[in-house]
Amino acid sequence: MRTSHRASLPQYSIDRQRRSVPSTYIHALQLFVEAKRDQTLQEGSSSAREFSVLYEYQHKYVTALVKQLPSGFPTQSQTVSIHPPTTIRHKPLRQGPFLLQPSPLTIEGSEGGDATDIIYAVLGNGESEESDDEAEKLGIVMIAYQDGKVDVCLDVDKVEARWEKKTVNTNFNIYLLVPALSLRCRILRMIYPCLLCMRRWTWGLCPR
Amino acid sequence: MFAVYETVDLGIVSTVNQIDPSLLDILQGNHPVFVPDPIHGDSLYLYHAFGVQALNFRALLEGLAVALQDENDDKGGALQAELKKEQGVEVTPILSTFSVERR
Repeated sequence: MRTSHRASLPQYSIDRQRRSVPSTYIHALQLFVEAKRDQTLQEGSSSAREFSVLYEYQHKYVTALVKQLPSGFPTQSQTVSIHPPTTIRHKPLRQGPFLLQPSPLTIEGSEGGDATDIIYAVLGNGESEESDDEAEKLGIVMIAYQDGKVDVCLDVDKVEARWEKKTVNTNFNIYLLVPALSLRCRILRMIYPCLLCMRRWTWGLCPR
Repeated sequence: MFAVYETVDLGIVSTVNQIDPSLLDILQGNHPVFVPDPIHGDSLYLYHAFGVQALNFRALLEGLAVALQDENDDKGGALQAELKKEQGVEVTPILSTFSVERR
């Protein structure tokens, strides 16, 4: 009995790098990266040039993933086994955990409690066709806690795939300190009008 | 990083405190869960042990989007003015299951 049980165990793959994902994920990622890259090429501003380096990396990565897909036009989604591309020498950069800034308020009389759920929300497209600019894509992140607290955060500094490389800047402080680098920078500077005392939500009034 | 815009208090702590502050331990069993509205993209529901609240974020995001557009068109101060309005997420209680049994 014991031997037959052991024989029925599945054979696990030794290659831990391989992952199975729906092929639609990769096609969607390809379209997304290409759209971002095309847009930065059209803009030509200094912040766009900075991002274009990043988008070239992302494009290289997703191209290597697409090459692993079975050939032919996909008629329906199928699960495909892929491995991380080896065409990029640098390691992918691990990002996070993310800071909540300024610190969320606490509810009076409560000791806090665990966060129980998180959701990302963005206004649906297609309702206002003419304003599909960057602002329209502003997303919010909501986090719910046991004591009935909900933190509402703005996703101003969008997470981008990055790689460990010195020229690709990963320090968000640059966004705060270099003036008018991008639209996101401008939101951040409005939210934190006083860069010295970021702890408080000041609406332009520095408490000091 | 996430820029914290506002903190919403659903009023659970204050409601429980009014009855008996020693009851606050029951919050350990509370587990709020978000459910997106399947039809309206600007609404969410928050289910928890004491009821359901609807959260609408259209006014918040539209206000910021318009202000950002005006800033782009060099109408200075539009974003600052919008932030001063303190337009937050609209919270509507739609079901309260809070009840107290007294002997």
